[in-house]
This record gives sequence, structure tokens and C-alpha cells, in this order.
Amino acid sequence: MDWSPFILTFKLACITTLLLGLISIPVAYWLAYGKSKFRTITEAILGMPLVLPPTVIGFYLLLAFGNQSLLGGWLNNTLGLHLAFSFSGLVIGSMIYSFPFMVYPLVSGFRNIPLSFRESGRVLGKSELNIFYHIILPNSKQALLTAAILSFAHTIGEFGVVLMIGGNIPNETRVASIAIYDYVESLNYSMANRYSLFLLGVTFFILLSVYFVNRKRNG
Amino acid sequence: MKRVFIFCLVFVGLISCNSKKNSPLRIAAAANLRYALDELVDTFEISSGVPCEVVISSSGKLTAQIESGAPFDIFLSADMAYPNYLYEKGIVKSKPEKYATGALVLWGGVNRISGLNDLLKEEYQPIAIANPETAPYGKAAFEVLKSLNSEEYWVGKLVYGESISQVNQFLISGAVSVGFTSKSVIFSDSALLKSSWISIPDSLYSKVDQGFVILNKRPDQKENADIFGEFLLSKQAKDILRRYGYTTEM
Repeated sequence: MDWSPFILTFKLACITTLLLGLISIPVAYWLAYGKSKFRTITEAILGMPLVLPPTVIGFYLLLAFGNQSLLGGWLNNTLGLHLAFSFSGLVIGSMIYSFPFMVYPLVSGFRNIPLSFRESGRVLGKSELNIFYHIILPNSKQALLTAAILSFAHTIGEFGVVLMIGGNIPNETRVASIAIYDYVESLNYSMANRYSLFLLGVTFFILLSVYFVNRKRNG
Repeated sequence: MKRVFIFCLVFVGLISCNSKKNSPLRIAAAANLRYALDELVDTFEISSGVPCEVVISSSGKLTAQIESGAPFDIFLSADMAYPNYLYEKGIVKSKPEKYATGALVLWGGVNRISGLNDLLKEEYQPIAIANPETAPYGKAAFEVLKSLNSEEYWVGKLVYGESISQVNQFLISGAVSVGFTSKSVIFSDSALLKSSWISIPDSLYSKVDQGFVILNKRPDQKENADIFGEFLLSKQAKDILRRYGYTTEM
């Protein structure tokens, strides 16, 4: 059995989750506590990957990343970056696709922290950054964990976007879901079954252990 | 919290270490070639020592990906139209060449069909064909159907797969009882598809000439792609293709 699609899938899910976390925490902070009137429209835009079919997202990303588009051509000519049909392209696609799964739990987690927590920090003369790092983040562990698991799981289960912008290239963009699709297409049902069962087992085990740890921590 | 951040950084560092090995020759091929290509690639790898990897999809999809800059080295289409399109648009520099002619078969599943006229009986409908707009074998299949009855007659009596692969799945799953597929498919590992098919007189449809084109998307693979192109036109490759139901020029 060829393990490379699984390694690629988990690599993609790890990198996507980490990068997405770094971007989403400030965004979620702004959405939860900001005063700007653009917050509602931003929240609506960020939620769009939930509604749009992945093929639509993939199609637009392919147009954007392709050599013939302005963006794709510019990236290609000036930075030498090929985002279509490459692993980095998959990371960007997955980040867009999983954005709401990271941001929404964080926003609701931040909003649930009682105002008195932040106020007491202010009374003690802490800076907002200090309050964020020492009060808000430690009190949002649950939300952080949920957001990370959801984005991780969602990236593993991703198919439409990867199919459109990935191009099924071994060791580069052939993730597990694509490999399974490929085996089904080639009528090799036994291999498709084996891959699917393995993926099923691994994801169940990941989710189980995370929720187990979570329950234990909460007593 | 700090520990988590440090862990994350180390982790990203570790998984980004990805030493790029000598990348193999990347062959993009149409769905109907899947079975023959396994043997072609094995033979080629042994005789030339060039490692290969294969990406399979429908010809139309692959063409769209090549247009967007997909890093493939050689493209084996299910027809001549797609390679010619790439050539005429100036996306590829080398001229497309024909390597084989495919044959269409009618697969009858469990309800053994005796002849093409059975297709007009309601018990065999709906009939599965690949999308005539994008799949060369679907186009050929639709020509056969039109020779049996008018185009209007078939409205609502067909189901469309996006490529030959999806038609095969309709047939294997039993979702439809008859369908048009490429002859090469009966050489797949699926025992079910091996049985119960009839060949179709090639006067009923226009020939499915299959062409390949060298892409030169990655200059370091150009030489290997040329060698593979020569191999496809060699007697050795033609013998293999013929064993999988294709016809080739001598």
C-alpha cells in the first residue's frame, strides 16, 4: 500500500490548521471585540465557503492561480510561484475553504468570556495585548481546540477544491481523498476500500483522543 | 501557551523539510488508457530506466489543466481534437501524433443483449454513455444511437457519465443495465466487465483516433518525454496497445 497520499493529507491538514490559526486569531479578535461597522459584512464574506460548492471555489482559484490570469501570471513571472497544481496552492485553497471552521468557534469563544475578566485586567493596568495573551487566550482553550480540530478534520475531508486546483499529481497534490476517487474511477474497489477504511480509522482515533483529553481536562 | 507555540514552530519546520528527489516523467492520460498504460509504463521504465508517474482524468479536464499550466510532460488524449486544440492555441510547440485508434463496445451486464436493436426495447433503457460534448467515446456512442433512431427518440432515455470511468461505474454498480464503453475497459481487473459485451461495427461511428502531444512544461523532462513519445510509436508499444483492444498502424 502506498502511504504517500496519507502523509500528504496530514501534512496539508497540519500546515493549513497552523497557518489558519495564526491568521484567524487576530481576525476573530477583531470580529468579537471590534467596533467597526464592516464586521457584519466581513463575517458574511468569511462564511461563504460554507455555502458555496467546493467546485465553485476550486474553479475560481484555478482561474486566479492559472498562468493566464493576472494574478497567476504575475506570481509566476515575478516570484516564480506556481500555485495551480502545487502543494502551496493546495494550502491556500484549503485555508480559504476551512476559514469559517476556524474563525467561527474562535469568535464565539472570545465573545463568551465575561467582560469582567477583561475589565479587571484593564483596572490592573495591563495593555490590551497583555490582556489578550494572559487572559483571553488561556480562557479560550476550549474554543481554540474546537476550531483547530474542525479545520483539521475539514481539510482531511476536502475533495472538490483539491480536485480542481490540484491535478492529482503523486507526492504533490494527490491527497487521500483524491487517491480514493482515483481507485474508484479505475474500478479498483478493493484498494479504494482499504484506503477509505484506514482514513476512517485514523480520523476516528484522532477525534476520539482529542475529545477524551478534553473531557478529562474538564473533569 | 508558549510551549504550544514552540511545538507548532518546530512541527512546521519538521514537515516542511522536504528534499525534492529526482522528479519522474509525468504522463497525463485519458481515462480509457488506464489499463493499457500500466503495462506500457512498466515496459518503458524497464527498457529506458526513466521513472514515470501517471495522472489519469478525462481528456477535456486534462486539457483545461494543461491550459492553466499543469506541470505534465506528455499528454495522451482520447482523441486528436484536444491535442490539436492545444497545438493550435500555441500552448504546446510540438505537433500532436496519433498512437492508437480505440474501439467502442456495448456492454450488456446481466441482461445479455443479442444485438444493437435491443437498445430500442424499453427493458434495456436507460442507456449509459459518456458525455458526448466532452468525451470522445461518448460522441462515438451517440453516433451509434443516432444510426438506430432519431436524436429526439433518445431524449430522456440516456444517462450521461462525465467520462468512460463513470459509465463503467454505472455499469458495475448495476445502476444501468447497458452502456457504451471503450473496448480497453474489458481488460480491467473487474471480472464483471470482462463478460457480456458486443463489439460495434466501426462503420456506425467515426474512428476514435487517439493522439499524444509533448508539452515541454518542465524543460528538464523534455528529453524523457521525447523518448516516451518514440516508445509509443514503437512496435513494442503497439503490440501492447493491440492486446488491450486498440488498433494501431503497422
